[in-house]
Amino acid sequence: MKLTKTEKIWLAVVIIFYTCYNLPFVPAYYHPKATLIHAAMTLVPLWIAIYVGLIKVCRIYKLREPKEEQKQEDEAC
Amino acid sequence: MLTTRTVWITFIVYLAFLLSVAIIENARFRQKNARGFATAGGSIKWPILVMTYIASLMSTWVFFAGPGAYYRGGIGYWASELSYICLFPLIMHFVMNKVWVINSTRKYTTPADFYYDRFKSPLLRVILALIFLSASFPYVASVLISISKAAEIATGGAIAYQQVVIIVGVVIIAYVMIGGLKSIALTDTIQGLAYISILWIIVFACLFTAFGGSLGNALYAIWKNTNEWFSYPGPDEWVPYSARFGYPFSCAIGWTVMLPHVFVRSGYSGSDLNTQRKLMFLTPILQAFVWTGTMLIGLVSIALLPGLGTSDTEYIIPYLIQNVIRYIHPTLAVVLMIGFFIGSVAVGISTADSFLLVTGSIISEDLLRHTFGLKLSEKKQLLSVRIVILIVGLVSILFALHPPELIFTLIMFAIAIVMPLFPILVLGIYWKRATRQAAVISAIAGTVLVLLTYFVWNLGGNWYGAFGFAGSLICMIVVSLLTHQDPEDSREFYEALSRGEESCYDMIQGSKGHVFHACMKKHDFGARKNMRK
Repeated sequence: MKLTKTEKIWLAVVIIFYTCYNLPFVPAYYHPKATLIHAAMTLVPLWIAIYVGLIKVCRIYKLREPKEEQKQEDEAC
Repeated sequence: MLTTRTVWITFIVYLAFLLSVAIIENARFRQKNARGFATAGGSIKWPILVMTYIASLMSTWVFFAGPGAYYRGGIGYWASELSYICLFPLIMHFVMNKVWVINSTRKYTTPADFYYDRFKSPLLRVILALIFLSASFPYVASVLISISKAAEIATGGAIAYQQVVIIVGVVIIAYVMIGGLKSIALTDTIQGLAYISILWIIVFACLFTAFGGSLGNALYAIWKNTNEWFSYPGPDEWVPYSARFGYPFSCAIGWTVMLPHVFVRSGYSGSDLNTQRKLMFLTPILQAFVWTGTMLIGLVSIALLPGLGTSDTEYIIPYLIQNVIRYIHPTLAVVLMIGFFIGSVAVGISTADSFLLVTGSIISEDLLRHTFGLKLSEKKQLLSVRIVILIVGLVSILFALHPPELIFTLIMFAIAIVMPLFPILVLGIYWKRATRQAAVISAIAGTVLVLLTYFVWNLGGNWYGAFGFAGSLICMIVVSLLTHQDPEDSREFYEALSRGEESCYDMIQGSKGHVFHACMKKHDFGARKNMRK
């Protein structure tokens, strides 16, 4: 299975932000301000990366209309 | 707090409504075979699919331990939830949509069917069936226990626990047996909308009653009194760095994709890829919406009543209603307690019915039919699934009436125990070199590692299934490189994937994927593999 360049970038960006969020010892324990800054700098970009990437990938993989026979088969089930 | 009569009337009206929905739905779409019964035959449209997915995913935890977990875990716990919720579209795109594409031509019934089709290993099917069963069967009993507890709490112990277990259990068995996934999906949708609305009504009621509707005031109170709520590892040191990774990672894979009832929904039940896309887009938003509501109840609770013990925070919603709201607005307290009861019932039933159905189909299809060779006509096969559901349901009721400690132990690691199956799934799709020997060894080794994590190393509370996942991944790669499987075994599987993607997607010009698809079209993906051989 081959992946498109957009998919690879999407995957890489998400892994980077997810890793940043999970960096051990960051933020330090019992530091509320650091916790809030850390969440803002990792979780917000992570969510943005997921949805921007999803929109881009969905544009590349445009959906075809399902064939008539497939529809009939589904309805029969 | 509520009278026994009020609870019974609410309860019977609600259950009768669910049962009638199931009967009407069954009359509209009569199921003809076991596959249609267990997976809806890939015919569920997006609004119903999204809601049945969300409703079956979330259990009574939303109303019971959930708010208490945010109370004890703090904002770090909420952040850890948000870190995995958003990964769902990624997992769907790279994995579950491919499962859907292959299923659209190969027509699977149980999750193990997919693995068997790729690896052609009867032993793997049995192992997977046992793993999936160990993850799903205890849930049915545990949800019955939770619903009955909710009734007990709401009436201050006036209602008999055993009566609730029996009545809820019988109604669930009845409507799962009548309509299968199709009717479950519709009742889940109604129940999903009900419990989400009730959750947010409770959130606003608590916030307005305690802090005049000001979230800022609640936050200020926490900042002043329980400052550690805003940092890791939280007020009860619940979210250390290890749990911040281990728990969300296991949830992202084990909970949202690999538990068998959600596997079927995210991989088999959608009517088309457009439906799958709607599921990808909407699920994280809805999940975040629900968990944020649960978190806000925990937030208001700690702002108002800091320093509560674990046993009180486990039932923080009824605790708040009985000890705070009752003295300010007695009528509102009664309404909220009914809401808590209905919400718990709705979120519980929508999970229990899904687990009951999938447990029935795993026993009937994977074990009785494919392992013990029970040959039946389509009609009798459907009947056998229904009989198995009846038996499993009755056994679950018995367990719920006298819950053995084992049930709670099994639930504790249900999410973790299915995690080692994810690397097998991913490598099975993306790596043609992956072999059946590797799949069997990975499943066993991963499961053993999960058991060791919990019962020997005592690290389950923080790491969940992470070690099992890593062990399974390593075994899958190493053993596949050391062993060989005839490519003919998986030829039809890969052809179904390539042909399915060709017929479903229209790649845009100029993308690498477009070149790949054009190449597949020109040379015929599966045939070229045969020529090489």
